[in-house]
Amino acid sequence: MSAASISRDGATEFRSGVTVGWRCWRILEHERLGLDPTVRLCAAGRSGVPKVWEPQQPTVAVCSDFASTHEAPWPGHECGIYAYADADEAETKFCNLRASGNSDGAIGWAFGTVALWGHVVECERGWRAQYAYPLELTTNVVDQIANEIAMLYGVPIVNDGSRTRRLPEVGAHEDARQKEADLNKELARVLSGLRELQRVLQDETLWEPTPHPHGERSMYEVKDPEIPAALAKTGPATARALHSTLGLDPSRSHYELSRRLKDQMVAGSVVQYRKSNGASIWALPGQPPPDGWALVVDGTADLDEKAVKALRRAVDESGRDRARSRDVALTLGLSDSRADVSRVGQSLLRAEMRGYVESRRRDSDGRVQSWGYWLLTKKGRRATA
Amino acid sequence: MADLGDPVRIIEVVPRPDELPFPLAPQEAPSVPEREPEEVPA
Repeated sequence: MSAASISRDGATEFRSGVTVGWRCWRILEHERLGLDPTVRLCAAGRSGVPKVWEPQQPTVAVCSDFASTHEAPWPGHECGIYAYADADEAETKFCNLRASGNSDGAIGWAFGTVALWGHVVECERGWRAQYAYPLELTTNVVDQIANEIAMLYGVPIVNDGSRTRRLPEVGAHEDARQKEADLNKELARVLSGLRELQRVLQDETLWEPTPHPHGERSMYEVKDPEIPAALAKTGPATARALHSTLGLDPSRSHYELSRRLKDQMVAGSVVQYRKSNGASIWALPGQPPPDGWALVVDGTADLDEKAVKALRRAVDESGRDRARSRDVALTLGLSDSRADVSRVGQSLLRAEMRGYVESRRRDSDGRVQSWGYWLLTKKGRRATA
Repeated sequence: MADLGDPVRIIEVVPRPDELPFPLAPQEAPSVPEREPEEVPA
């Protein structure tokens, strides 16, 4: 029977009991406003809709075609929630999806049986259904996440291969799995060595890129010691965790705290790390991030390095040990306009926070003397040698 | 997952009670239409 020969008018065959098919899901982190992050089963294909399979409720098919005017599934269309009748075919499809880069951003994969009901378009090798819900899964994630999925969705997770198909990297290829574990251990050892090396080099570093974007807000206004104090207590933390540590109203959004963190970042008193999936944590400069997190560095902050180097040139050319922001701006080839001088001043202030220059010294009584001049520290002299 | 082959038929699948780990809303649980009682010849 061809697709064209089937119409909704012919939907008269009723079956009692859900139809059971095979399919796979990506497992993704799932962030929620005001709630702890969790995980979700998600469509495996890039055009799979709906993307997120919510726990404890049916996933309902939708047609994502902009021009369509029908419900989903529809016989002459491709919409509906897909499942294969044959586990081997589903597994082949699953392997193809994994090989096509669909694992990017996923914590892992789930494979297993799915209940289908409602209007169902039966096809030659499977079904496209109106409603669906997972029945029994095999996953390749750590036990903690597998248990979370089992609890959320109320479905058994069977990772021993006895009841459901096995994921290629779970149990089916123990050697490969062991090899991967060994490689991960080796990688962790190398990364640990590199971090140690980085710590040693930091004392000798010529210039560390400014670890924050170059914002337009004035760093002179940042007077917010609560955040560095909280980070000193917690170590690297998400905005959500900081929200709680700071005792902020849990019913309010993190937006306000995010603004405060950005200000701190512009001032150089906190740094931001990101993971490849976009997740973000905050830390004090020098607090090493957990594995897999990268420092957020913005290339627009490169004026900081140029400003410190220009200060060195300005100092050397003047024969004195200090220079004003205006002298540095002119040495850099900028104008002596208020905007340019202020920009240079902000760069040098960030450099001061990171120990390359200083703008004030204490007198013999310990009182701070603000000179209106910039001086290079020992670290700054090394960086500009 | 676009290689399921051509459509063969359309079916209306009705879940049995307790077949899923959560209760279904009425619109999510289609029911089998009741048959007209057969006429018994007098």
